Amino acid sequence: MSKALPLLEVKNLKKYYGDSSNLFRRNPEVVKAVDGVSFTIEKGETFGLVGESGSGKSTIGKSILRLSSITDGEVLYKGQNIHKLSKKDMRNLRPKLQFIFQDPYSSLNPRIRIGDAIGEALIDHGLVDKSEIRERVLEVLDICGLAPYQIDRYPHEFSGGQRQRIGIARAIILNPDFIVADEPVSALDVSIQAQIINLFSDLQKERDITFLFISHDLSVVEHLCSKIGVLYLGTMMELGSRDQLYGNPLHPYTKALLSAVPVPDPTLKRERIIIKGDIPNPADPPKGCKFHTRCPIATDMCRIEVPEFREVEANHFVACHFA
Amino acid sequence: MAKEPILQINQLLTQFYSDGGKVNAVNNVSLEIREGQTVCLVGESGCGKSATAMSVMGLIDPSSGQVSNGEVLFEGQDLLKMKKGDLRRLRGKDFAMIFQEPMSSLNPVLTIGEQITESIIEHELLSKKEAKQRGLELINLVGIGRGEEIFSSYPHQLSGGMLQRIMIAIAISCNPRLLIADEPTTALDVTIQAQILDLLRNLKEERNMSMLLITHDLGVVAEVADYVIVMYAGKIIEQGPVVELFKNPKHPYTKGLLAAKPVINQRREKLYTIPGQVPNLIDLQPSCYFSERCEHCMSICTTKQPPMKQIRDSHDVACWLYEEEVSV
Repeated sequence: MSKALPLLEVKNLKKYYGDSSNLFRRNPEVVKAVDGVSFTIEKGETFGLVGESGSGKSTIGKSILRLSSITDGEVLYKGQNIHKLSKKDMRNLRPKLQFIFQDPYSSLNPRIRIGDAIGEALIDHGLVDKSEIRERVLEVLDICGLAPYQIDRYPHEFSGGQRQRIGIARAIILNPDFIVADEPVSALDVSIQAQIINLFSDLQKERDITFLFISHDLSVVEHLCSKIGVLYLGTMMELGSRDQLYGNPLHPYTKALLSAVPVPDPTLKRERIIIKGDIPNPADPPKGCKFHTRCPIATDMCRIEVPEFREVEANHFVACHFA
Repeated sequence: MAKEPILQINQLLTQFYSDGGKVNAVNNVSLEIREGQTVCLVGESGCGKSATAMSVMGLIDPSSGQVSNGEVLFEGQDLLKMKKGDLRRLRGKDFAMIFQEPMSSLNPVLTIGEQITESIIEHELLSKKEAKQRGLELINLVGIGRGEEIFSSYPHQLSGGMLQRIMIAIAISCNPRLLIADEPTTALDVTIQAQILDLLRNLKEERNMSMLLITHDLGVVAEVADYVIVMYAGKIIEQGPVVELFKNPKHPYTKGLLAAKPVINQRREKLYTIPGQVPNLIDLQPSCYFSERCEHCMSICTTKQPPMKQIRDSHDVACWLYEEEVSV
């Protein structure tokens, strides 16, 4: 295919913790937090990464922006391998790649006024003249729904939802092409969460920013994302468009996840798939298909053979022997 | 058919001390729970739902606040007037509580077994051996296998979902008639949450246990509640049977909460949002506390608090929109 280069391409990404290069331990425990994950994100798309705790979704987010090193694989941003760039080149690229954290409070310095915190990166990267900074900060405050007088306030004077707006303002002031947002609405109350979700969809439309949206909440992901990947213990289980994944989920894990989400309708009676047991220890994942210990349809083959991640319909990939 | 309520709260006022004066975290709250009924308290952070539960349990830290007024009647006895020793005999036995963070409510240096048997030995006067037998049965009942192994392990060796099951096992160890659960599944993954909700539902049915479940998640409410109470800024603003409340919400805040939540397979272009944020409880004036965020705000809403009004059978709302004398 001679399609245009995707904005971001992740190829066979691996991130292991506690690698075996330790001289002093005989049997170091290697945790394969991310174990050979591949996907691409097209420009202007919002890609959702879902999974439960320990699935490796945050590790992938950090690795993509090189906030964490990787064990193997490639992360290509507009064709260039981010993990092979020199420090200087990487620094020049940083403004284009931004990160929004789950807990904005812990990423703000309590003694720095939020106007300075938001403008800081512009100065650091020498992107604008000092005299223009205040104007630029006021502009993003407005976009993010904060009032101009709040520019000289300190982080403790803001509520959780407002702090998340500050986190978003800090990221978009650099005019990034690509933002990784790691559980940005998980800590917020429903009424505030809706405000921030709408802010994200406005940013997508108006500023043409590409997002990697990491969340455990499947209803939020359905609302915001056009393409979704489902992770389990560091492995991609299913990948497809929103319609494919929510309309025709193929992996038993995806089906179970979707059926586990409580629906706010007390009259709804549905067949619930409750999968048994806990998420296995990532340091000692099951052999064969990693999901077989909890899978309702697992057979002997699943316990031995790792299912291939294959394309079952156009752009819809699944790793299951029976899909 | 009319059963006596197992728990009845009348005009509960719980205040916390702060620099700006006393804050009414729970502001004249009245509610009742009947035998075998699950009542859900819903609301956002700071609405007083947890403070209500803590007041019932007698767990308000005296250095930070107090229950200033009201009655908490458990099977007719006022817990607030009870002597400490008498309260201890009931708490953990006749009514028990599970908390949001299982990791921080379990003692890290005691084994699971020691923590499960503690209240059994305390309340049921059983020997250690008998208590262990009961403990193992409980571990099995909450759906964890490998009883012996779990019994001798420490909290850090178990996952969050398993710890929450252990918390439930401890809470039900003396067959309480009322279980208070404060956001019991909020810290858990969805697949584990589904398991825990299933477990709570089964326990309720098998033991005819009453439950007060506190949550911010309307999905969880729809799955387990019989009766729903919505709180805002320390006050109950609407309450009703679960189907009635979801199908026919009256208060603009309840409507807003239901509309603001994204729901799977119901895509919308834009989510409804409630503008603004929860008011600071310190500077509340006599008014409807939701008035400044409400799109139907009228002049009376900013000067006078709306009373609770019955709309239908056991469906009440505190909103001026439903008072005939002002609505026209």
